[in-house]
Order: sequence, then structure tokens, then C-alpha cells
Amino acid sequence: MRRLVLAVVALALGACQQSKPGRIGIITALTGTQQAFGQAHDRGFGMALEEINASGGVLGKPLEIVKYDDQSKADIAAQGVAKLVDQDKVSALIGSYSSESTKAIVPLVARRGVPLLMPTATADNVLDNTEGWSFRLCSGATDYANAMVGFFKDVGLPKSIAIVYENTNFGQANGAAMKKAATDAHIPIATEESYTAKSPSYTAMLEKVKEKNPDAIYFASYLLDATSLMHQSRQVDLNPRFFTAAGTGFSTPEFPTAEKGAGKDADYTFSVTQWMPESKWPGSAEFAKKFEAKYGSTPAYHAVQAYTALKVMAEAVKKAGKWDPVAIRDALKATDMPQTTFGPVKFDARGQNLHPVLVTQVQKSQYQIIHPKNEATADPIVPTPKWSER
Amino acid sequence: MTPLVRRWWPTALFFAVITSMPLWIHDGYVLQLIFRVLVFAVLGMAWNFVGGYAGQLSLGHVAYFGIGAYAMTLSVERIGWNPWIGVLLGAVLAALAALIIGSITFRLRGPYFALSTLAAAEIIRVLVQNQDELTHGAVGTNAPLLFKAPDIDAKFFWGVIPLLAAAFALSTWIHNSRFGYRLRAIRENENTAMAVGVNPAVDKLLALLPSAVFTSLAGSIYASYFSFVGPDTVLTIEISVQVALIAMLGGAATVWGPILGSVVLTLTSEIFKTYFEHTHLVVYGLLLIVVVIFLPGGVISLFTRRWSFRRQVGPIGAQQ
Amino acid sequence: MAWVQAFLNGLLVGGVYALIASGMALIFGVMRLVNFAHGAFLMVGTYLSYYGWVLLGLNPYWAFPLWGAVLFAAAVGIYWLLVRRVMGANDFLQILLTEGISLALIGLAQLVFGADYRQINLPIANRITGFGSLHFSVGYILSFAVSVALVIALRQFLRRTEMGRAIRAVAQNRAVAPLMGIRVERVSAITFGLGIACAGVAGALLLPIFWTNPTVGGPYTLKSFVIVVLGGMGSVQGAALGGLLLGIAEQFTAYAWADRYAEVVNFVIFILVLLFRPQGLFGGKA
Repeated sequence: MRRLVLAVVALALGACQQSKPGRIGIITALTGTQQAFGQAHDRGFGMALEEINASGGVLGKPLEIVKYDDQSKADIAAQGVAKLVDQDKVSALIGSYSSESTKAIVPLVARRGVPLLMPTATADNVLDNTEGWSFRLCSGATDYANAMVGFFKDVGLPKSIAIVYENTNFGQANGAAMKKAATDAHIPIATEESYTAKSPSYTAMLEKVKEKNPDAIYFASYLLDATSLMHQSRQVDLNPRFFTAAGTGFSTPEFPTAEKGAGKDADYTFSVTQWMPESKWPGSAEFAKKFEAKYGSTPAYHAVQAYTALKVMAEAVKKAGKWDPVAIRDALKATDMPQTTFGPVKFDARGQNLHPVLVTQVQKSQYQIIHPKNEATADPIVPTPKWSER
Repeated sequence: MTPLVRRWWPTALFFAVITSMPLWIHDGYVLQLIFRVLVFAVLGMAWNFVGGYAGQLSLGHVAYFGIGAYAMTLSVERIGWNPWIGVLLGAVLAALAALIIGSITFRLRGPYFALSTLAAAEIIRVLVQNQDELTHGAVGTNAPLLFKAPDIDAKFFWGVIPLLAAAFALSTWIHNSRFGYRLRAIRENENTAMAVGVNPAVDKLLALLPSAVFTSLAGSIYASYFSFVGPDTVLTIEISVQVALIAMLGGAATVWGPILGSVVLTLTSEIFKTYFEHTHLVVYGLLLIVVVIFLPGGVISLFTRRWSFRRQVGPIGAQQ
Repeated sequence: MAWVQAFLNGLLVGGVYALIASGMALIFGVMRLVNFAHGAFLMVGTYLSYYGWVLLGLNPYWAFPLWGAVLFAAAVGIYWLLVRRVMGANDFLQILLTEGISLALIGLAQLVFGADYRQINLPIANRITGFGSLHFSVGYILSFAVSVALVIALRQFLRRTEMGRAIRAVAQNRAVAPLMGIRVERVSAITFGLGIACAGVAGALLLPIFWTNPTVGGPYTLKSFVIVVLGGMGSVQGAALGGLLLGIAEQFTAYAWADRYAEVVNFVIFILVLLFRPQGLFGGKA
């Protein structure tokens, strides 16, 4: 009973704090199953915060951020909105990591009248029900699929495509997106296979896919499964002309490495990515170098999404001229930043940033950008050599 | 003081204080937190009918929680009903599910029963996750609002209090009735209970039905407030375990136990998160261990006089 | 041919399942303890194996006895400190305690190692071998071979040694065993140690063909229960065969229906066995 009283008093006292100067709230997965990505976010936010404050802060004062850990759970993310907005009195929010957590907070920020910038969630239905309060920085699953089909159009559409995806929100969203994109482009779908992520063995499923003799395969997987799938594709001798993927696992810096990824088995795979250190956007290489120096690993695009999101939000506050959520929302709507580290940032009527998606290929354990042509760093190698010929 | 007042004034005070909270707590976050405590108290009390009084350790109660959440959401989305009808539909479906799951799993005893309920809930989760055309699969979707603005936080808060009161009333009735007596007999020794004329098959199902219905109603209101349903949010094993823990930790087979358990577990979890950040899971685990070793009767044993008796014997009686 | 491939793949994965489940069967059969921390100890085994390889260059396929010994010692310690107190108490307390241990271990792992996934790349584990149109990963074959060898060794231990006989005696009748001069507490401690060691070694062997992170153990706790029930309550032999069968069933389901429903097979088998053959495939009495 005592514990209850103490806790309630502590929380109530927190509620009686005087309102502090304006702050930006951040919700992400600092612990839990998505911790690795939340950490990338955290680091990106940290770097942006440093740079913003090094160049004078926002509206004459150093920028303050308040973090909330959603523990990789959607309902905890929802709770975070209440804590950050009601208790910590933030004027704007950035977050979260996963599409579920993000979806959960979208109606809540609309309810409270606070603008939200989503750095990383890719599910297409994330921008439903925003009532104009939420904006998304990154591209979505549909953009991934369209980019890959755009690449196919460059080199000749495959005669058929097999879609293999994990049965999580990420996988299902991307599987559905490619199904639509392929159908619209008149690419016959050889088969669709949905698998339970993080299983030890996919050989039975890959045998099934092999029997359908697909010309191309589109995977939607995280890193571990990406590695397993490529090793096991070799094991069952699955040889489509194209191994393609919806980013994420197939675009991480670790994927082409032998210690943490598929090593040589990753060669020739095509993937989409939102960003790479080699991209031609200003500050990309510097960001990567600084990140590596500070944290000892190559940044994945989640880090740069967080970094850019905070910068975009800071700009919006500056433009608004005051820490008023409505003014900040309007400033966000009017954002036009053609030269960020994450490419041009401009939101359409739905709140979606028209972010160009890059298509990459792993060549000799290095990622090369091969589409769109004006961003390309190399030509694609097609067709994929058979396993026995490598 | 009349005996009636003497018996009921703590309860009346408790409900009066709770009901008044939205009037003097203006911080949405605190209200939301207490809302969660209350919802999990309902869940704990509902579980208690089957788990505490009847001694059937169900680890699959999240199935009913999820059914409530999804029935409400999908009926609004696909059929266009009013969300409250959806909530009722959820309760009906949960009762049906309880009948099916109960009639299969209640044939088993002890850990076999527990694991079979877990298996049943997992089957439902996998089905929901993979039938994505119907349920949005793993992507999930936003849940409809049962109460509209303004003052949503207060309205939801007041919305869960009748549910809490009803669960409380039913718990009290069970605790003091012949039905509760029969449930406890089943818990102590099912065979002996049968020998004295109790029909465990019927009584266990009779306990499971309101348990499932209350769980489903709580699931609907919870999903609506946090505005999201997804298999990883409303159908996880974690929720089943949490609900069972709340009842057991608070004091199984008592009326106030689950309420205490929810207060302790839900609040400490949130407080740990704020002050211990990365270590909160460890602290949570250690808390469980400590309670088992030092408070086997549950937190409520700190308040009941029969503290030493319970310590010897454990929260629900006989050793097995 | 694809069916044969699925069968054999299932058999290989099932070997590791068999080892994990044998550990669970020991603990459940002898101590009647529902061990919710089984998967967490498997996870500990994977991390020992990981750091053994990364920091000390110890190949898991040789170093596993070391990890088994470490886990055995740790488990006996945990038995004396904690588990002993809920022996004979009701299910609730046992579940609360083992769940608490599980959460604490996972939380500790997250704290110390981070939630990031880790995998190791043993060149030998990635090699493919085969005959005809059948292909196998060498890593799987090795993990299978060692797991099966250990299960057989465990069986021999239970049948031929005095301690093994004592363990079986306690499993048969805990109340009467002391009359035979058996120190039940001691037997329980050793059984717990052995059971956990099985889980940990299985984890160590799983690492080269899989990966790890603090939550990797969860599904395996459940799987072990399913297998123990499938094989016959408390029968180590039954659990071993049950593990192989489950592995095969999963691969068949993945091939014939869809991979994503393979996990449902676990639960459906579980309920079916409990309903129609509760003594399991190899259990004696119901």
C-alpha cells in the first residue's frame, strides 16, 4: 500500500511541474526485440543533436530532446505519447521504429494535436488516419516494390517472380506491395511463400519455390533470415536469374560480410535501400565516417533517418518561430529541403516525403548502386551466375 | 457502525477514490497508467475465477483478450457496426471459444492443462497472424474509439470502472458462495471433489465462461484506448503470463489479490522502466523470485492475518 | 525426392530438439518441475559457445563439454539456492519461480550483451554435402551427430550407472525412494543440473547453424514441453524420439502446406496427443 502511495505521489508531482521551454519528444525501441534498430536511431538522434546545438541550437536555446522507450511494443509506444505530451510537454514528436508502434501512435498524436515525424516505418497503412498531424520521412513498402520493378524495366522484366516473405508486419507489407507492383507490370507471380521468421531451416520452403522455377525471387527478410535464405538457397541449388529483396536484411552493412552475414553467398543479390554511405547526397560520406569513428560500425540507413528526422524537425521549429505544435505542424507541411543527407525532403498532401529509393547489387562483397541511373555507381551484373558456376 | 458498513467501507472508499480520479488528475499520462492498472486488475480477477478459485492454471487467457479486441475492430471495419456492438460480439465469441477450448483442455490436469491452454492461444495467434486478408495479419490496424473526444482519457477511465465493479462483485459472490466452495474443492483435489458429488467438468466451464467474457470486454476497451490491434500486441503469450502472475502474485483465490497484484506489477514495471531503463527486466524477474521465496501467499498475505498459515501452505492450499 | 529431403532435414534439426527435450524430460520426469526457464538456459549455452569461439577460438563442436560442465555447475547452484524451495509446492509457485529466473536471465543477457543478434561463421558449418539430388549442410549433420551421441550417452548413464538408477527410482516414486537409501535432494540437484546442461549444450550446438540473441530460447521451452508430452511424460528415450518426429513433422508441414504454419504443427500435435494418447508415444501409464 505504501508503495502505491509513493508511486502515485511521485507521478502526480511530475505532473505539477512548471512547463519547461520547448522540447522534442522521441519514441523508439531502446529495449526489446528491436533494440538493435532503436540503438541505431538513438545514435542518429545523438549525432544530430550535437550538430544542431553546436551551430546555435533552436530559437536561440540549445535543443532538448526527451526519449521514451517503447520496448518494441505498440501499446507501450502509445503510452509514450501520453508521457511525452502530457507530462513532459513536448511540442513535437519523432518516432517510432516499427510500423506497429508507429501505427499505434498516429491517432494519438492527432488526438492531442501534436505533430509527428516518422523516420523509419515502412508499412503502407501507416499514413491512414493521420488527420494531417503525421508525416513520414522514409519510403514505404510500395515505393520499394516500385523501385525494384523500375529496375526490372531497365534490364528486361523477369518472366515470373516468386515472393518470399516473413509473416510479420514488415514481411507481409512488402510481400503485398510487390504482389501489386508485379501484377501491375504484368509480371506473372510464380508463387508466394510466407515463412515464420528466425526458423533454423527454410530448405523445405525453398525446394517448393525451386519447383516453380521462378525467374526472379523477391525476399522480405531481416538480416538473420537473409543470411539463412542465401546459404540455404545454395544448399538446394535454387538458381533464379535475379535474387532481389525489399531492403532491410539484404541491405545492412553486415550482410555481405562473412563474419556476420552471408559472405560470398550474398554476391549478386539485388536490394533496395533508402540510403548508403556511397550515395551522392550531401554529407553522406561524412556522416558515415563520423558514425564509424564514434561507434565503430558502419551506419545502416535507420541511423541516418533518425539523424535527418531530428534535423528536419529542428528546421520546422525554427521556421515556425515558436514552440507551438500547430505552427510546427504547418512548418513541417511546408518543408522544402532539397539537400539533406537523406536526399530531398518535401512532404506531399498525405504527409509522405517523396524519397527516392535506390536499388543496389552486391558485387564482390560491396554494395553498388545500380538504379536509378543518375545515382548509379556501377552497372548491374545480370543474369546471376548459377551456384555451381561460382 | 453497522456490520454492513464495517464490511464494505473500504470497498466503497476505494471505488469512490478511483471514480473521482479523472476529476483531480489532469495529467493524461498518469490517468492512462492507472487505466492500465485497472484493466489488468479486471483481467487478473477474471483469470482468478478459473486459476485462483478453481485452481486451473490457464496460460492461454490472452485468446479471449484478443478475441475481444479483434471482434470489435473487424466488425466496425468490415461490417460497419457500432463499436459497442462489436464489443458485445467479442464477448459472445469469447464465450463460445471458452466452451470449445474449455471442453478440450479441462480434460487435462496440472501442467498439461496449463500448456494446452497456452497451445490453444498460440494457435489462435498464428491463425490471426497468417490470415492477413481478413485480419490485416501481422501489420495490424487501428482500433475504433469507443468514446469520442473531448476528454477521451476521462471517458475511458470511467468506462472501465463499471467493468471493474462487476468483476469485483462477481469475485465477491464466488468467494462466498457454494459455487466458490465447489471450485475450491476442485482445486484442492478434483477426485475427492467428485467423490462428494461435485461435477468438475460443469463447474470448471461455469467458471471459465465469465472469465472469458470479462477478459474479452477488457481486451476491447484496452485495444480501443491504445487504438491498435495486432497479433503481437493483443495475442501474445506475455499477456497470458502477466495476467496469471498478477493474480498469483497479488494473492490467488482472494477478491483483492488481483487488484493488488495489478497495482504492484503494472506500476513497478513502469517505474522500473523510468528509473532502471535497461535493467527493468532483470529487476522484474528478481521481484518474482523474491515474492515466491518470501511471500508465497502473494502480496495480499502482507495484509491478511493468516500470514503464517499461508506461508506454510502456499497461496492455494494443499501440497501436491 | 523432395519429400525425402524434407524428411532428412527434419531428422537433422530434430536431433538438436531431441537433446533439448531430453533435458526437459529429465527435469519434469524426476522432479515434476515445470521448468519455464529451459529456453533461457539454452540461450546461456549459445552465448557461452559464442564467446568461447570469438574470444578463445574454441570450436563449439569440440568445446561443448566445457559449456555443459559450466551450465551443470550453475544449475546445481540455482537448485540449491532457489529451486529447492518450491519442490513439492504447487504448480503456481514453481511456474512463478522458473518464469522469474527466465526473465532475470534474459534481462541480464540484454543488459550485458545487448539485444543484437549474433552469429558465428564456422567454415565447416557452411559447407554443403550430399549425394544424388539430396543436399545437406555439414553444420546440421555435425550438430545432429553430437546431439544424438549425447542423448545415447545420457540413456546409458541412466541405465548403467548407480546415479542413473537412483534418478530413475526417484522418477518412478519420489516418496518411496528414500526408503531405498536414495538421497532425493541430491538426486534432484543432479537431475536439474543434467537437464539444464542438455539445454545449454544444445544451444552451443545450435549456434553454428543458427544464431543467438537474449530471446532465442523462448520457442524452445514450449517445443520441449510438446516433445516431452509427445514422447511420454518423463521418458528420456521418448523425448529423444519425439524430438526427431517433431523435426520431421515441421519440415513436412513447411513443404506440404506452408512454412508459416509449421509452428502450429507443434501445438496441434500437442493437443492431439494430450487428448488421444496422453501417455505419449512411449509412456507406459496414462
